[in-house]
Amino acid sequence: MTLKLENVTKSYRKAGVDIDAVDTVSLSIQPGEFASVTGASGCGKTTLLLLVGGLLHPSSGTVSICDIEPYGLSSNKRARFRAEHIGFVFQQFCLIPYLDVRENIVSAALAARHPNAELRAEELMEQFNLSDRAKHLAEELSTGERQRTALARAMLNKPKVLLADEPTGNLDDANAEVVLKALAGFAGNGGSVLLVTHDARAAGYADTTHRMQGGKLSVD
Amino acid sequence: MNILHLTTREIAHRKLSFGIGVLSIAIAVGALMGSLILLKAHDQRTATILREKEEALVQNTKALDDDVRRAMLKLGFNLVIIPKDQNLGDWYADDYAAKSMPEEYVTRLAESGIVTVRHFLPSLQQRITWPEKKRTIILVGTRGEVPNLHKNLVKPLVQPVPAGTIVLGYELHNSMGLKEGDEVTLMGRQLAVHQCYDERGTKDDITAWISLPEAQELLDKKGKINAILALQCNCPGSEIHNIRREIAKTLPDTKVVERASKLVAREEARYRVKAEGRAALQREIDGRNTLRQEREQLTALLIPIIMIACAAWVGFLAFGNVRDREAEIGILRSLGVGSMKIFAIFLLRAAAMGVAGGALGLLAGLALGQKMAVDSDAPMILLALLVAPILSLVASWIPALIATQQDPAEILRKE
Ligand SMILES: Nc1ncnc2c1ncn2[C@@H]1O[C@H](COP(=O)(O)OP(=O)(O)O)[C@@H](O)[C@H]1O
Ligand SMILES: [Mg+2]
Repeated sequence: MTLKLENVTKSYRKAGVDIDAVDTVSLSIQPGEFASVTGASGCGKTTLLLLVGGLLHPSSGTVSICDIEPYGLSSNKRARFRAEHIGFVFQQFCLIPYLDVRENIVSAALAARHPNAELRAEELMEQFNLSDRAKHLAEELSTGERQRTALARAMLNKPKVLLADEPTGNLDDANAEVVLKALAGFAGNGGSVLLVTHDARAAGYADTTHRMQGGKLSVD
Repeated sequence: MNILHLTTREIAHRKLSFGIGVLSIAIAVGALMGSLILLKAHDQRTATILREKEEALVQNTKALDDDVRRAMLKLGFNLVIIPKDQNLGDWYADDYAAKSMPEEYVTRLAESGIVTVRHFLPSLQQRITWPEKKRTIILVGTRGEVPNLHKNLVKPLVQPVPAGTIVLGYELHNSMGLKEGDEVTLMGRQLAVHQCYDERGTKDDITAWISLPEAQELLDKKGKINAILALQCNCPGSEIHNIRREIAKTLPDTKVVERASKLVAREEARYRVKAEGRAALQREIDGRNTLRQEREQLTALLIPIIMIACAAWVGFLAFGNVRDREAEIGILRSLGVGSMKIFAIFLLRAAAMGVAGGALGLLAGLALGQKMAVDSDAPMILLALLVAPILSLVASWIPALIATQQDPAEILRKE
């Protein structure tokens, strides 16, 4: 099992009231599995993704990825663990504005030494049809190119798990399809994908689909 | 990819904000160096001024010395040797000594080897009433000078009065209608008028000169004199006391009185000028020191203010940089970059800003130093090179810490 959540709850205290953004969620994803979670805005999708990504301590429950519980690690080790095991893709792409495409992709190697980062970046640019955009800054790219750059960056360190938060939210159909196919391709190569989105188009590419409502997860 | 590469790219991207930071540090360092250079320039200027004034003082004093020396050469320096027990008040009032000393003193003096005085002139003077004429005169018995045996013999300075003759001052021969060759009687002695002097406007006008032996006889002071004039002391003023000492050694029961008191006054004036010059120089030194202290105090006040203002400004800029890069911090954290590395990224940028600003300020300082002809010394340069990065790092420390405290989950959820 690549990814396993057991009774994970994340609650926020707001104006004296506890809000369970994620409410006793259990979920497991196998190697090679592409799982999607769909739900309305505010139902807790991003919170779920951050919990899985080792960036947000759960209020209760356990998270384990590749049999490692990231919240049992020191923050330094957890950062290292993220660098080695997890790739993130966001709706806003989150590219570093002053780096070009190649550098943005290679920036995933900032955390941990990666001897072949440049070579790997060339491969990924080829794969995502970005080779002739290598020297372009994010602001000089189309949204589709930006998201493909973000995808390439997420895949540089050959993670076990890809976590995608509304990756198609800003994309037209054609570009959304490229991204979803890339995620499916990643799963096809043995990786695990967790895609959270309110985009109905995504469901068609996923192996398993879940629904989220008010922090609770239910299988479709 | 490493943080150095990341930082250079970021700086290139945000040139303006980085440039402003560099410039403010450069200004602070420039101000620091500028102040140090100005203080040093002050010191150098002080040294130059003092050197010039000192030289001028030496020159002036030398000119005065020369002046006095020239005047003395021209006038000679006349000393009068009188008996030791002569009351000086009486001497000044009468211009002759009531006391007397042996005539033989002159010979002793001439043979003594005193080389500073060229001629010795013994005389016996006294104010008397000319019995035959019923008037007061000054009678001087003189025998002409005794050349100093240890000096080359020179032409006699004062013509001796031949025996049996008399030389008369203007007032005397004029009022009595006497002329050269006439016969007069003085205290019963028949004398021929040898010479009649022109009017001099001094006591010489009522003076009569006769030969010393005759004067000694008439005044009943055989073998006695009451003054020895030492003529033409060609000596620098500072040696007057040496002459005194020499004479005192040879003739213990005499004392030496100066005739040419103008010269003494002049010499005293010269010493006063010297002393005043020294005092003026000291006042100049004091003035420069006070100015230096004031400048130092101003610097000591101004520099910390500039440094603090600069640090506040650089800190403000660094804080702005952290704000601008919040999304970047979030994404870097999600990529597994640890908080220490985030800290390092911001401090590296601060260090780069400090080094660049320091170098720029240093260049400005060196240029100023060159313009003011002040050598910028090694400690000054080292200070400039160290102060800038330290200032920048200290100022950016808290913003960099804030960067590490950013919650990536919070940032990424907002994105
Ligand atoms: N830091 C927080 N403090 C308080 N409430 C939060 C915080 N983060 C998320 N929430 C709340 O949790 C819920 C789920 O948020 P989120 O996971 O962003 O939903 P989604 O991604 O599905 O739109 C929302 O109601 C949101 O207001
Ligand atoms: Mg969301």
